[in-house]
Amino acid sequence: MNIYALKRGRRLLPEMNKSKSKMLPLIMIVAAVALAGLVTLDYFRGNREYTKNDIAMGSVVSQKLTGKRAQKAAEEIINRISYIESNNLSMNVSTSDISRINDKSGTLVEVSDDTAAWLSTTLDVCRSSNYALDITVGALTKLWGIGSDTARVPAQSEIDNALKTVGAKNVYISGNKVRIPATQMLDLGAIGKGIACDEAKIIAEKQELERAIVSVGGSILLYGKGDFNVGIRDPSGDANEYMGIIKTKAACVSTSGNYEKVLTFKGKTYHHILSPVTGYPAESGLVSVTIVCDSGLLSDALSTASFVLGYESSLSLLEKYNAQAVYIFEDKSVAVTDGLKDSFSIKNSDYRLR
Amino acid sequence: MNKLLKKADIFLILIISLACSAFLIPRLFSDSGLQAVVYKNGAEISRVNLSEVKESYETKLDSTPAATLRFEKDGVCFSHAECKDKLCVLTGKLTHKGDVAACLPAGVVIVVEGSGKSLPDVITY
Amino acid sequence: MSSENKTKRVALLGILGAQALAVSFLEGLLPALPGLPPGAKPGFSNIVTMFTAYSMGFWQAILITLIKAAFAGLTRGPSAFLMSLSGGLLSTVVMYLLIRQKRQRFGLVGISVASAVAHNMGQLLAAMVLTGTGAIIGYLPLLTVFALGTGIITGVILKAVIPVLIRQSRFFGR
Repeated sequence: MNIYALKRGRRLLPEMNKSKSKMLPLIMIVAAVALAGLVTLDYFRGNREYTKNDIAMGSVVSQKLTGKRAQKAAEEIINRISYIESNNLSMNVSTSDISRINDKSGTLVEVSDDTAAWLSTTLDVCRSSNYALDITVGALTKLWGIGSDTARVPAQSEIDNALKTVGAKNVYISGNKVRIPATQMLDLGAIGKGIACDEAKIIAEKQELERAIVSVGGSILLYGKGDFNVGIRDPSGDANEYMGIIKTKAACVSTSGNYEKVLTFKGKTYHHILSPVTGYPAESGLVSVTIVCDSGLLSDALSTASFVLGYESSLSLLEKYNAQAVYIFEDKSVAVTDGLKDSFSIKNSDYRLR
Repeated sequence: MNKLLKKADIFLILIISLACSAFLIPRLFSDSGLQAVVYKNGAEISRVNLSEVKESYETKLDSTPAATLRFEKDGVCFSHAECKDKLCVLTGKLTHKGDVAACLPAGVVIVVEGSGKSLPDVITY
Repeated sequence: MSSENKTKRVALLGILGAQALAVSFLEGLLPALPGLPPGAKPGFSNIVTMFTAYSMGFWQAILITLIKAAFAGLTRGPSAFLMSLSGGLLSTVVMYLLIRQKRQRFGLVGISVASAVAHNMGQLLAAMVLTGTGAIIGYLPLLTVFALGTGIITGVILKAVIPVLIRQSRFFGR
């Protein structure tokens, strides 16, 4: 606005001459950009951490990523997890690799490279654990249905029949082709979330993230430089209480506990980690075991195996895979493998180290 | 056509700026608070600055099954849910940075964010 | 109007619609900004809508809006369609009302800002209906500031490209 307009009063629209009308828009743009900049600065000020929370694989997928392409990575990660769930691993989606193997049990089924690789590695762990971990417990887990609407305590005869179908050593796999004995059923519930963590790691690398913490239902990927503080959930507390903290560099962390999915019937509690030998929830004196390992699949597999095996019998298994662990016993005592002795500290005085 | 910029334009811009600043500037300063972030089906649908909560209130979400959230000065929780196992309600009140509660059937996740570091980065379960 | 003129008018609208879509598409490639809901984009395609409202009329501008909404719906799904439609309609109506005022109070920037803010409000309303929560209104102040900025920029760009757009229209006999 020039001074002539002000002199003549408000009723006249200002006649802006050429040079003025070029300046004013410029000033307005600068002002607009400055305003936008201030506002964006406010949101950037906290940290460049991008968080995303979704639901997949029947649990909360919580991501905290830092990096230039954090948002893109977050979207890619959740998409990938949903994809492998429906395409490879799910027992409920009839077109997934695992479902097809199950539906066509007794016959040779061709699966994707990924599924074949994951099965191979997992069968390895099954063997090494003396089949304390057994991914062919599908008929058994389905029978109990713990964690679903149809959870119940089956009759002994039903359990015996289901146990007859269990036997990972009878899984035949060659290249991309898999065959399981007729009536057997695969259940990869024990390792699916660990696999999701490994897939997240691949994307974190590809998108050159500085740091990433991805939790898939409690199985965690820690990626990036520096230290991470991982709390171990207090088995007798609520979901956000931790009894101790592991300080670790990048790794994958998984926990198997008897408090996650339970069925209570006639005063007795049945948890979801079934022993492939007895057909009943595993009783090894442990309430939970947390594994730290560089692979998500392994940490998940080893946590289930260790829970079933119990403390002493699982130590050599962990050594073989170069994994560390924290065991919490029913009497609230805690055991820690050597590699974590200096990195784990108890925060809740109800618990004590053995 | 029209001139690019008229007096009324500048008034309009000024008024809008002032109105928005009135809302935004307090937020710039009360940054030291906890925020409850609500996600539905992966999308952030609400961000509540808990320190700005004067009187606790409840919001019923239009989810299936329906869930009701309760926002208080020191935390947020699921006060009621129509899901089967009510794990979300049983989680209790979220009061620290990083606390999470979720109603899986409803697709609703609440996370507490805040400034300042707090141990631990994540909890395994 | 002769049928030849009618055809030319339809052709011009088609070109304008395509231009609006092209700008929308390019905008869509921008990454989402933190603190804003993921759908928030600068809305430079408003340049086309405003030009159409000025030079051709209300219904022609509405047509451009519908084309944009249809495109959003086809490429990004029904919720994107609703958001684009509700934002676009509110924006175009506000825009037209201001343009057709007897006394031209507002310049290009003012109309652009008003329609950008209206667009955001329309989208926010649609989002509230879609997600079923009123809580999403918390984004309003920030979105409005954003609309303010992009509205100004859009107005300035429009002023700059008017000669080009007029020449385009003349080509079609208008």
